[in-house]
Amino acid sequence: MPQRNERSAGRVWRRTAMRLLPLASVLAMVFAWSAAARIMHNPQVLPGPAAIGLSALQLLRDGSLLDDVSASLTRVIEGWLLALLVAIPLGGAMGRSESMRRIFGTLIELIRPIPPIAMVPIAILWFGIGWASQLFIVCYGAFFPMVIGVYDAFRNVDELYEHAARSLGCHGVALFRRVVVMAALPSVISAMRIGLGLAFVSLVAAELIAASTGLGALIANSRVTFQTDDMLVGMIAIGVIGFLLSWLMLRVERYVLRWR
Amino acid sequence: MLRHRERKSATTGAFVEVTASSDTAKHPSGARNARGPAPAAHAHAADEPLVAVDDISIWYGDPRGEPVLGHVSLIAREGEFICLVGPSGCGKSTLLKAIAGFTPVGHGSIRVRGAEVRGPGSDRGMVFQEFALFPWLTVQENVLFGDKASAGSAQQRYDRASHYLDLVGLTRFRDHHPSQLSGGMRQRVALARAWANQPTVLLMDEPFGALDARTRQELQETLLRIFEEERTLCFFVTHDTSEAAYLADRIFIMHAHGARREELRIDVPRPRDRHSDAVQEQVRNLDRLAWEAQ
Repeated sequence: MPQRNERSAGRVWRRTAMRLLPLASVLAMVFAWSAAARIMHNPQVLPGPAAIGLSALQLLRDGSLLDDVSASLTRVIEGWLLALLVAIPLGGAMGRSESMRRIFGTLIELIRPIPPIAMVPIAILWFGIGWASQLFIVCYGAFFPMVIGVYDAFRNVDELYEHAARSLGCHGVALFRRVVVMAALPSVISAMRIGLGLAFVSLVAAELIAASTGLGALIANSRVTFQTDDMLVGMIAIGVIGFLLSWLMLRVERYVLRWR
Repeated sequence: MLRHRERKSATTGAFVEVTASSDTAKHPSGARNARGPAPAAHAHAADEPLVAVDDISIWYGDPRGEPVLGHVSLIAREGEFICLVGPSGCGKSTLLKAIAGFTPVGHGSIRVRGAEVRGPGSDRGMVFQEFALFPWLTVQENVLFGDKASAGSAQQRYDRASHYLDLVGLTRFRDHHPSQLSGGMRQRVALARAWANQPTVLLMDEPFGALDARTRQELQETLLRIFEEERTLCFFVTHDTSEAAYLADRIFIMHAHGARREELRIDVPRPRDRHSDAVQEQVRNLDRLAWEAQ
């Protein structure tokens, strides 16, 4: 039936166009930027995409960009894992126990509004400039959204699952492991993804102030030396890495929760 | 029998149904059909009922106020299919949840095989209106979830799953996840899961309430097919009188605020034709008993 073929061909075309739209908007942004840079004609204030590409190549060739990226990523992963180690048991316990909720709930709500950047000076005082204070800031930035997310995940486990499991003779540790954890898992993984994003954001804040390597340090140091193109390379790298991390976590999430 | 005061028949030990307003609702004492509950066939059943609800009252919140359920007693024996029918708010689901052990009883006691109910347990299987399958497990893993269902060797487990999936007609879907199944199929899995764990009594809380009319009829037939095979005592909560008349051996009719409770015995032999005069007459009786008092 030609009519149906036409319609389905139209649908395929529409879908392809939809998939290409994000790419098109990024390209449009690069073009607009390029035009703006040409009009402004001041690479100190706004270097064009070509100039940034060149300095990115330069930084890649002397290895410093890769060093900065790996330094930043290592800190993010370390801090995030450390935060996870505390947030999952604590959030889980708060979600399942009224007394744990009452002991830690208010405390967490009181500390949570203090942004990671406000913790940087005290972190420097306590841990000095370097690895320990950066780890602290990353961990701090990732911890609160994760503990709250995990707490919500465990608190909102549908009672129906527990009732079904109990009527099938499942209780105690087995009930927790086989039912509660599994039912909470989707929200726990979302909390982990959000935590990873915030760990990365906090890290850059920490590196801007107190670091010699890392993407934040690249930005801060280029500002001092007026190398705006290097500064933008650092910023774009942060954007791209954050994007990739989030994409990766979504893939992991989809794989682990493939039963949905 | 659901009533403030019960009478026991000396000869059978079974409860005598209340006097309904019509003679047709009465059970002619000699007309018990062969497949109906026959306490004599189970030696222990005559003295020891499978489920005995003894004068229970349940309050939500303030125990000085009006109870959700007041002074309910009933006795159920092996092989019976019992429906609890009534309008919403009559406490039929509360009664079921009390037997399941989810709702604590304020006064009185519930015994299953002589042991007092103190919480949920695998001797009382549940089927929920919302299916309550574990979405992270496959169909077969759901069916084998229970403590008794999961016992034995891999081969025994596989055979057990096959048997119950075959009863509900879902053998081909054993490796699917619940999200890949329709509502009717999910409830079939839930039936298989409950039955595979060999409960003493199966409690079903409006299990087909969320399904469309056609699927509901198919599931009623599946349910009766398994019941005929396994003869597990069933409690089935519904507000659909034609569903109750089609399924049940005995029907407990509950009214709002627990003011009056009645019992109707359905002696139509199975397999039943839901459109037959015999079933339709019982639907009319039931409608009259259930809604007239409103």
